[in-house]
Amino acid sequence: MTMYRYMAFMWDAADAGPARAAAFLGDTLHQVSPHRWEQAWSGDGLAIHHSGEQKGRMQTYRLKGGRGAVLGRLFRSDYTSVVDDPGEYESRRILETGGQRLIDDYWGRYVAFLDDAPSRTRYVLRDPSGAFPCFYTRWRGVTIYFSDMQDAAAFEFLPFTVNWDYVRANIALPFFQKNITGLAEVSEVLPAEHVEIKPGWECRKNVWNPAEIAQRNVVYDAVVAEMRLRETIMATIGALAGCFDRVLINLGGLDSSIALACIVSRVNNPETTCITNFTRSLRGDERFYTRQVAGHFNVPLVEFELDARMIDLRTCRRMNKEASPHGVFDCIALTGHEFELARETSAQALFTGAGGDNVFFQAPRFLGALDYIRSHPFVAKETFLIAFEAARYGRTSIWKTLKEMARERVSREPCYEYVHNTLFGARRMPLVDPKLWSEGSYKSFLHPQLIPDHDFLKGKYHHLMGCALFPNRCYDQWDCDYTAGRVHPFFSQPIIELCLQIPTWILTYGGIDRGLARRAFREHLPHDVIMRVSKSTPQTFYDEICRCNRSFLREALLDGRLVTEDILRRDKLEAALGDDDVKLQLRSNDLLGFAATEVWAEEWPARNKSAIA
Amino acid sequence: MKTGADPALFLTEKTFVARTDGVLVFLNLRHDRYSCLERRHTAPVSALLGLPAQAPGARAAPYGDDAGDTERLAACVRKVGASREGGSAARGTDAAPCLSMDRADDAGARANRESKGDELADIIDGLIAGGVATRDPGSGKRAALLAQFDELREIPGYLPREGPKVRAGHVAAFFRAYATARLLLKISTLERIAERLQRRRMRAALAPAPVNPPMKPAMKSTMALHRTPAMAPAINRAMNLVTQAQGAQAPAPAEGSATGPAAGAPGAWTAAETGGRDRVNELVEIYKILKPLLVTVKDQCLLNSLCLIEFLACYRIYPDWWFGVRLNEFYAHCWVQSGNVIFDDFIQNTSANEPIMVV
Repeated sequence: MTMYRYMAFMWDAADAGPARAAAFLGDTLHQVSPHRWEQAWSGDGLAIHHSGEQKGRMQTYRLKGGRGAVLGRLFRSDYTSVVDDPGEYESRRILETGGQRLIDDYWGRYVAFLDDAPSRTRYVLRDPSGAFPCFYTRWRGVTIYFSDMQDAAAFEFLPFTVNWDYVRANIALPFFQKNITGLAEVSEVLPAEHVEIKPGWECRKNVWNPAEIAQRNVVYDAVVAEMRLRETIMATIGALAGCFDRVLINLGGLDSSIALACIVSRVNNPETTCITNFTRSLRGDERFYTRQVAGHFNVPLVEFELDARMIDLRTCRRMNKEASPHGVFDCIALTGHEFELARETSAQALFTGAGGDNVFFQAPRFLGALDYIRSHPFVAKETFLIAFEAARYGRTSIWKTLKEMARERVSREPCYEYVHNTLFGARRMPLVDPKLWSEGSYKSFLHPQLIPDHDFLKGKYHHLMGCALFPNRCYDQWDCDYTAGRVHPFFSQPIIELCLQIPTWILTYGGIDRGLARRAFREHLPHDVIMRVSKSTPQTFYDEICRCNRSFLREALLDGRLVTEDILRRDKLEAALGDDDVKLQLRSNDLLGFAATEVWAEEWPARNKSAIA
Repeated sequence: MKTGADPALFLTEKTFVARTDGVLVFLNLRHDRYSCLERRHTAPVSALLGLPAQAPGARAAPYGDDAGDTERLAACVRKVGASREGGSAARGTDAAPCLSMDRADDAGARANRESKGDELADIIDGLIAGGVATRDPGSGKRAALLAQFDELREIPGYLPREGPKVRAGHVAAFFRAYATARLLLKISTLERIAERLQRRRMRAALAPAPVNPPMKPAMKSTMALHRTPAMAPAINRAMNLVTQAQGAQAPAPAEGSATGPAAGAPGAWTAAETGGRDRVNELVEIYKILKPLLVTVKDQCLLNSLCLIEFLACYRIYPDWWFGVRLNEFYAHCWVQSGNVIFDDFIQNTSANEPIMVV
């Protein structure tokens, strides 16, 4: 079984040269790719190929009247699944609105190619969750859109070179959606981006604005917020799970437990198996909680001990090609046990709790109080209560919180700088060359919707950055067979939109981390799980991986491209990668992330060389 | 008198030891000072102290050069005994996580210039001169590594805004506890504070537990300690509570496992002492609600945990005070725990530290 993927070729139909190039690409695709491709849709100047279609899961929806196709997975706003192609009326409305109808009345993970032949206009649109990729590159007048970089890289005549601006920006501003990719020749239709294309002309705009959503229909009542949160999450995750017969769920803390609760409480729920990873260190062991949850729902639980001796980092040289380095080394996936279990259980998807922290607003400090004071009187009983709760949440004193709230009212710092400092101010990266920081702000590389007005609410901006437009992998970098697709249900449009509409001080209700989510699901989960505020960490696992793979790290990093590009400091790397385990473990996360980036960067020159040969 | 089974070295009465990242760390409670050995000296000194061999998988071979270790330690050195404001477990430090630290084997550096055979002797002399170790079993105690429980829990909390009602008495007790903790940290030593807590606990162990204990601070308790022959076993039991907590002999841990006092063992938490688990949960939650009034967590673990201990003592609840160290950016930390239940911290924080002492 292979995961759904697409490749679309778009060219000016009036131009013969690109037409020949497009035909050549279509023919060559079948020769160079290991997947079985079929033509999903074609029109003048647009040909879409797909592979791995599964109706009811990931598929191609063909609009009536030759108006184009929507690739991926669609649900209506009432959470019902769209399996059949849209009818005439829907197809017409989708095209007339340039795809806006998809954003407003549907959700899911999709990329739309719309064709208005009479006006010679085409539209490319990507859903706000960004769960389904849309990269593109150009060759001989043809724009090649694709979901998986591995497929584009199979065309050996297409050159791809590392974009070092991206690499720097990704170190300075990790995790967040950028408007460039790691390859100079590859761009991306960004999440929630709409591209209108006419011959010789192109216009881009954003069709989903999280900042606007956060200020519209705000849910100020905590009881209503709690109820809506529960209903929306159950409906969304239930809808996503309904596509599958058998699923795995990676069980850990509160968020994955909520996901499990939603999956199993669905009528006709899929066969569910849970897997939990643990380390020998208590820091990475949450089996006390996962056993309770699995027992509560009577689902099988597989416990897997993470052993660093199983990890040979040299295997990362065999990882699938990606348009951008992730910068975070997913060592747990490298063990391969999840894929093995997926094969054994014939699971069709691996659900995770990723994104729960983001949407439920697990942010540092007392940002909720800063948002509150912007629209409420300073001298009021409720204000003091909010301040108290925020102080508890931020693990600071009430007096400091009140002082910050007063400053927020009277003389506030600009939003972006304040939140940026909250996120990254305490970060220390001695391995990184100071020149990287002095090259100015990397703000311009962010998705345009992630740059706030000066006056935007700080807590809500922090929230927005973490949950809206958050880049997630679609295709696993280790799983060459794409056995089970990863589903991160919390990064779905309905959940993101609702959570954006809930004020941050209500999300951290009672001064408890993810307080509102805990209240919303208190009847569905064991009390210990609902009330657990600690988080496990596989840190000791990562530390051990570094220790066991020290020679690989030295080999990859000391004289690697990151050093020659003046991104990392060789002297500091040498000190960290010496024989002192303590120094090594101090920087283990950074070292693993840099190693992943280095290996990613190395493969492109090697590929280009072999292509020329 | 030394027997064949006795180790060559003993710790002084008020010294505790932990082994973290292959390095022995000592806490001398009397001098309120942490010190450590170089990694290459840890194995031989561990043997002299009669400590179990390094856990399988741990690196026992000497690593790093003296200069590297010295530089790293030197970066963390600060004079102990400076201001106690803030009350970090790293006594005398400010908010920086680096800890006041001495090289226990300063003599080791000089030993580079001497023969290897003298090097260890110099280290031992240094440990003895520094008040860390002694050859006299009569005045010292056997070294023992303290181990954490196999399973740890955090005390369960309450759903948001469904916590216990905070009353005036709680607020008064909180302020009293805070004032006591601040005063103690200002004018007293950690040794004296620890002794005070131990004495209080002993008195509580001897006193009959009231059905509904009055809500007044233990300091003002009118219950006098009368030692009678009938009470002697109880006192001995109370003493065991203290001494075993100080130097719990952990069985050699199985690979990858850790052991600690089992429920019901000395140091564990019984309903008779606490008046019920629910009551403890309630009081800890009330403390957490009130904490933002005066106490922050960041780098003030000493003040925070002592304040909680004093607060709970007002209600005749006496959890243990755990201290731990780690070498990854040298750091000392303390927290409140009873049995395997952590009261005021997270598992991921406490487990990052190797336990060195329990009060």
